[in-house]
Amino acid sequence: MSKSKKISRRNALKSGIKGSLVGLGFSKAPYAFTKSKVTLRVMGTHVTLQEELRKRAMKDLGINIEFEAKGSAAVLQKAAANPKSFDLYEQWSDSINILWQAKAIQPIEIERIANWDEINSLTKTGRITDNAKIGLGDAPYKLLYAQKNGTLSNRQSTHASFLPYVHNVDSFGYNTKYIKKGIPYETESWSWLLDDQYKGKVALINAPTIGIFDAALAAQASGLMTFKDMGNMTTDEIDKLFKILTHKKQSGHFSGFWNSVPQSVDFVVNNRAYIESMFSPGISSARGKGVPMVYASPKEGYRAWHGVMCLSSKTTGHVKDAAYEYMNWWLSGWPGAFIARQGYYISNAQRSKPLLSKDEWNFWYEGKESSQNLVGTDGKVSVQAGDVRDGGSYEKRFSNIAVWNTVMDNYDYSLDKWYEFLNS
Amino acid sequence: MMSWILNKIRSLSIGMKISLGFSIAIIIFLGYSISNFESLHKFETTQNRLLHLKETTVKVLTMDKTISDLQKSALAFSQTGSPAIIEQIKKNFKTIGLESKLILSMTTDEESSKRVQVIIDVLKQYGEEIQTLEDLYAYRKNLLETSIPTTTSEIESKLKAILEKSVNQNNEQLVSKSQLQLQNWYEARISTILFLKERKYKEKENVSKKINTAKKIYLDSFLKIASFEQHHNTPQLFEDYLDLFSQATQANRNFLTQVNVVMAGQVLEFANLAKIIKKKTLDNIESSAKQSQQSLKDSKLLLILFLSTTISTLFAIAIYFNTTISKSLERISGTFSKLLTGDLDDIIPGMERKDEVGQLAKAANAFRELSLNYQLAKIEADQNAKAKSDFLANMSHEIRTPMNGILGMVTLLEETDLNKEQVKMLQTVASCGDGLMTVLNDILDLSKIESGNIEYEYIPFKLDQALEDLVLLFSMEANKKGIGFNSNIEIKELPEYILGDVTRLKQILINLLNNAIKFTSEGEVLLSAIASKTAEDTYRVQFTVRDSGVGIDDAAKSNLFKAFSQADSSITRKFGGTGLGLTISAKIAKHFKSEIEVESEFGKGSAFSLSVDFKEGIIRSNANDEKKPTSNIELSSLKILLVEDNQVNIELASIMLKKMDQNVTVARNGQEAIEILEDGNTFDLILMDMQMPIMDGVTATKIINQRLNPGRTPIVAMTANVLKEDKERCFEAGMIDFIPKPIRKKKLQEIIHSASIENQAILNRDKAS
Repeated sequence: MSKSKKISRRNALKSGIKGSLVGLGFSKAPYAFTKSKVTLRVMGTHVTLQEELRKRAMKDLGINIEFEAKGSAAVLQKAAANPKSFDLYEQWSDSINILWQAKAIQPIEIERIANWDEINSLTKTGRITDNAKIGLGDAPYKLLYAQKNGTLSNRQSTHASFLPYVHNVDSFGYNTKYIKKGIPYETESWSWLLDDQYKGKVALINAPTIGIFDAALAAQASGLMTFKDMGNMTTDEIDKLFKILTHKKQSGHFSGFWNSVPQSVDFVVNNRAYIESMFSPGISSARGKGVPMVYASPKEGYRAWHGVMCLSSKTTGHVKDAAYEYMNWWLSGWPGAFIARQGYYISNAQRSKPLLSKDEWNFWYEGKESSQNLVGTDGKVSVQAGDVRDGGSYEKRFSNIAVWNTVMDNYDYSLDKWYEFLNS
Repeated sequence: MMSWILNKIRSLSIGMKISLGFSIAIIIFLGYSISNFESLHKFETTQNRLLHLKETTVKVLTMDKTISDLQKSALAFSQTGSPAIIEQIKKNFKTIGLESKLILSMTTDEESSKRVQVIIDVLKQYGEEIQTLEDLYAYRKNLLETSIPTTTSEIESKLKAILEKSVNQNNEQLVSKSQLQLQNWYEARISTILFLKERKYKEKENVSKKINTAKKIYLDSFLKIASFEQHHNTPQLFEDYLDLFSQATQANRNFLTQVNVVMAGQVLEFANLAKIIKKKTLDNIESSAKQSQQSLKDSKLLLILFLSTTISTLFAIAIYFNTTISKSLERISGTFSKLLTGDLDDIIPGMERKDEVGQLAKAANAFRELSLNYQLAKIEADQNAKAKSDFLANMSHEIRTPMNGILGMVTLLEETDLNKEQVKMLQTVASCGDGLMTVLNDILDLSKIESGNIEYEYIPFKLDQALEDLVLLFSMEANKKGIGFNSNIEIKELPEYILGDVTRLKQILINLLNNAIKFTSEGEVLLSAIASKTAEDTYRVQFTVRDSGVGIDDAAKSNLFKAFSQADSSITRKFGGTGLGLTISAKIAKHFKSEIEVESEFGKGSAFSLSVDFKEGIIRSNANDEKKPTSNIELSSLKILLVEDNQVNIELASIMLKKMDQNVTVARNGQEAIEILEDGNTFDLILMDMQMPIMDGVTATKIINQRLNPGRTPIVAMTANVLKEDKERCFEAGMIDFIPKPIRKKKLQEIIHSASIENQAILNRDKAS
């Protein structure tokens, strides 16, 4: 997952937000503090390695925390090659296999995670509700539990390969100035990305693990091809998909391939693209700049991603204790409320609910109309009164997962094909 | 507002108006110059911008090429890992950095600036990616060239040792197993190389499959054998190998992702942005070129606009000046001309103006007022003069009428039988009457001369004949008085006829001769006339009248020519006369452009002389001015209609005509005459008075000639109205001759004689027809 580049609104929160409530939440926390001043090294991406979170955690936990934020590939590379270079690793579920195989991470003792039981069923059973679709690809629940034989599976055990925390669904955004607003889950479709009427105004994310699924969902929704298992495509399927994509690209269908969230915003602000793969923060930013963007709720389902927090295989002692404290802090409520205001979900949302206003909860989790303007973590109004979140409630959105961000078996092959596609 | 401005302009002086006009013209010129300068400046700016844009375009194109080189180098590096290539990449990267900053500094439009800024941002990231690429390459290289080969050789030697041991133990089954294990290992090795180096992705599965097979062989066949204990770490080695393979796979992926996705994506975006900037720059060039053309067009338009504005403004100013100044001056000068010709009724234009024209108009107005005053004064004076003249004319008429009676009766009385004493008495009466007539005529003459009403003739005449008449007449007069009369006429130089007013010339000479005879009691009077030629067609005659009379003293000389001033007031009493003669003569002489000069010595006589210039006169017809013999006229008996209102005149005329054997019918006025004629009466001659009650003579004549007797009966005026204009009125009405009152018998006889001849001719004509 390459939610790697800087997202513009990442400052502020200089004053302690709802300090008393946080304090209250903390006083109930059942774990113990390690009083010695240890330094915890956290490696990850900018999505979760935000300065406000670091400062708050240091204050709350009384420890030193160092953040090392990098791009997805770089982080994974470094972590896999050198487990000594970090204590905690924050990334996406598709990196678990690699890290686990590389023995870069150690199993997390579930009993040391105070609010483990509050973690919802998405990562435990794969379904947020009984009727929810289980997405294709590397659904995180398949990798959650570490078995004694060293494998990862959904069979419950005493250890977990990662701590489930931040997650979200992605789709594409479109500018309603040029594209008529569709009906969520009914008319909005991935096929729009390959629709000839938007020729020359379509952009994709330049990341094979993500972009390939957007393209595959689009090709399948357009009726151009089908996949036996989109979460693990065969080389033939990859060939066919890229043949379609290359043909489109050569006809001038794509106006660009973005490398970072600000770039994706720039594309729609400058009208280079009317429709493109997008992330939630990009949508907010573009709307803030006056572009009437809608984050689509495709009838074929979302592409979902799940954050994982992993413990370095080389971390021990006090630092390891501090790492557990940090993991517990993340599920203690305040961080969940913080990232909720950026549009992300936390695995134990009920813990964060008291820290969100009724409007915030209604808007972000319930998919209901906000009765007043909502302020984001940057102090600016991010939601206007009367707005309703695209795609509806948390449950509704996570019940419609088409595919999870995945490193497929033929990833290496797809990588070459992607490069050919880029340069075609 | 507009009218306020116009009023302000109107109140300016002409100088100010002209200055204003010039100022407007200058302002227009300045305005044009400035705008033209601006337009040129704009053009220059556009041209500079064009040049600048061209430079920018070149830079963008260079950058585009460098970016493309950059990715080529990155790909080359991914194949070779050559440090020289990474140096080249870094150099290109730096070049792009400098180029993009240069372009940013050169870019003027906001959109392009933004894009260049994006390039710079992406470039910064790209710089970090180069470092990452090096790290990833080094890591991958380490795995592929150190870690994996180390483990590989370790496994290989281990597996070879196992095979050797099996061979040594002569255990065929073990040999077979160890060979199979080795074979799987080799296959895994080949697959590893094919996957990691040759990108044979399907080989990936083989690696773990073969390794796991080999591992399973060891676990199944050798782990239980104690003698192989030293090789029991073999499965672990296999696992280590798989770990390394997994790491190498990830390293491979990461490295390829870095080159083929991350860096390639950024380069692609560079290229895209460069393309956009290039397009934008080219668009800018085009738009600048268009702008440049437009500014040229604008310039042209401005020039046309300026020319038309200037021409029309100057035209308007010219029209304004023409109407308000030139025309006004023309009008005011026209007004002055009219004023000078006496037309004072015109309205003076521009009185309301406050400029020089206004002042001129006011001057004209002042002049008009003066002229009006003058005219009124003149009219008054003229009226006075006319009143005087009318008075004189009336007096003349009123005196003449009784004088007609007196003198007529005297003439008639003379023809009766009278004794000597009676004759003498009658002669005295006649002389007195003549004297009175002379006085009357002199007064009329002077009055006419002074009022400018005297008319001068300019007709050919014979001077010798005129002088002869005078010599004859005054010889008799001198003789009567017992003094001598001599003449000295030397006028042979003159042509037969000369041009001039002989009557007036004679009037002067008669006056001088009369005076000479009057004031000479002994000795003689001399008349001399000496002619000389002064130019080609101009002749000068010097007239002198010399006497041996009383003479004039110096004091009297200065008043000699003033009216009513004889040399001595006693002279009038002694010699009689009005004393107007010399005054009249002097004035006539002045009209002849001459002057009467006096030489006199008191008691010894005087000499009056004047020189008059004449031109030759030409008589067209040969008609000699022969006087018809008037004596011994035989008059036929005619029917004469006498139209006269005055009873005395009726009686006088009737007696005179009856004495001439004429039949006289009397009409008391014009109306009566018409009635008589309308009654069918015919006449041979009609004698018509002018001034009568009911209908005057002129009106009656007109009616008679038009209606009753067109041209048949001659109508002759017989009137006391003797002024020239009276005569003219008579002739205009159709009268053929004029008998002034007092009636002279001789004149009357001539008229009747003419009428007789005429009558005879008519009778003959009627008989013949």
